[in-house]
Amino acid sequence: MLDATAPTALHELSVPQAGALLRAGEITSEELTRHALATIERLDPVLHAFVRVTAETAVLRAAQADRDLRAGIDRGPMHGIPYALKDIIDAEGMPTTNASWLRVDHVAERDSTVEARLRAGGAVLLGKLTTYEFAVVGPSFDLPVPPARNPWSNEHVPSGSSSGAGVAVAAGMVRVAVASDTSGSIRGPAFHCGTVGLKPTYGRVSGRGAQPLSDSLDHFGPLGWTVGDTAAALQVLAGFDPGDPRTVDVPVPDYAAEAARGVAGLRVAHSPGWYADDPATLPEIVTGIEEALGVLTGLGATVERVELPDYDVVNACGRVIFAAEAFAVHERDLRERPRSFGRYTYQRVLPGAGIGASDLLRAYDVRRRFTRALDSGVFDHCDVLVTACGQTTAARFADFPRDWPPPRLANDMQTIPFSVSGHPALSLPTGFARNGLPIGLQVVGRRFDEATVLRVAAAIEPELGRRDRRPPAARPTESGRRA
Amino acid sequence: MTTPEEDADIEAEFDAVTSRLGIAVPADLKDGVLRGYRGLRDMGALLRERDGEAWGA
Repeated sequence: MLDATAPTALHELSVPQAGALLRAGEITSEELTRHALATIERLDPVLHAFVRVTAETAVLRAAQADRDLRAGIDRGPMHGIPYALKDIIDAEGMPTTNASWLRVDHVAERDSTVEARLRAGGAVLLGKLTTYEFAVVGPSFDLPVPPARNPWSNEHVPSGSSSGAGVAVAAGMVRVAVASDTSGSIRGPAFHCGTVGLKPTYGRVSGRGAQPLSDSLDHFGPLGWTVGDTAAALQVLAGFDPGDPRTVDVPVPDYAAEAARGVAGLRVAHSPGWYADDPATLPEIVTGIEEALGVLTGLGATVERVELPDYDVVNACGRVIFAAEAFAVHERDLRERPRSFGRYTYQRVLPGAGIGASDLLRAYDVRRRFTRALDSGVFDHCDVLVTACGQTTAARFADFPRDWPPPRLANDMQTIPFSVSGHPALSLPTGFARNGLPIGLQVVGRRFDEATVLRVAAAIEPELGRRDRRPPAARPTESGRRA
Repeated sequence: MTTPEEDADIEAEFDAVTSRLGIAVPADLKDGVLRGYRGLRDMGALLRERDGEAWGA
């Protein structure tokens, strides 16, 4: 919690706090931006979150944001706020490399929809964030850029594929990053880096101008240091896009207002059968979920235990869809330029060639039945489901073998079911495991009801989120403080 | 665990697929590719085994 009488590092201002100070003329976007750029310059040589920093254009955009505010033009909750994009998302005139030798020369000719929305919303792009190659798999050391390092321990991976996004937010380089999540690529780095990460409902945020991975599983959304940061970013990102037929024209509520409503009267589903009895799950993660349920109960919500369909079947469904669709995206390059892929990427994507139509159709059928089971068996009477996100803390780089796949414990996440079903799912920190690495949980909601997901997360965050604790390298220096 | 004979069958099956698609798999990458393919085969088998199962949540 910020103390109003103490000097505050600029990166510790939440997006709503910074927005209020910008509008009051007490800080400028240029100050926020120069502080963020200095933080990146200080930390990124070790953490490798960024593949490209656009310092000059960032300062120009910040100066424009300041001029607009002085002229009485307010472009919304991200006005004047620095952010960064995962490097599979286009920004006009900038390379979108996908961390791949296959795309090192690709320069985007126009903005993606999410970048266009952020630009129109007066936000300040600082640069592009590293990713697993084509958002597929990692960590890899045979790509044009090195893998990002977990700011809590450089020997550990930050998870992926939005690894740079998780690192940049956790380390205080940005309050908000925008990324993609196909099987857990927002929620995984958020979980392992100790940030908030929201995979919105399928179709809530446009993917036009972003590299596809698995068309029917690809989601796009924000990571933020707090629930409030994440809500502010979603406010700008969410909405129908005629350029992306996956998006749906559903009203976008005021997320900040919704998140502040409290949880009294809400009904919370809980299904420990997926994780609590699995020896792969760390006890601290189970305890964190139980504590979160206690917090919600104490605030007036009711908790109800539900049974979910067999996790292994839903997981298999997601893996089969992912593999078949990812192969379809990359088939030509796999045939013509196999050596241009990273080793892991090639070994993860090519096996999808062997999936037959009948297995794929069976997987689509499982998806329909799982989605219906959630809609009619959980969300017909409960407002959210609170469940595990990851089962273990971050893996060490040394845990990953030369050839894909790694051992099970290197990447145990329970995120893919809600990529399959398309329900909104948020990764929320619940503190730290005994080894000092971040842990968290997952809040899942009805389709297009991100507002209630944020509302529940906002209620848990002050009690368990530990937003006062940054990775050692990210603790503030004397520069960038405001009196 | 699969037997060496089953492994050979799986490799032949995958080779037939890649051959039909005109994809030549570099020899040094093949072990990982085949491990991934075996995993997907197992998942396909699980989906077939549980096909049509009634689900309530």
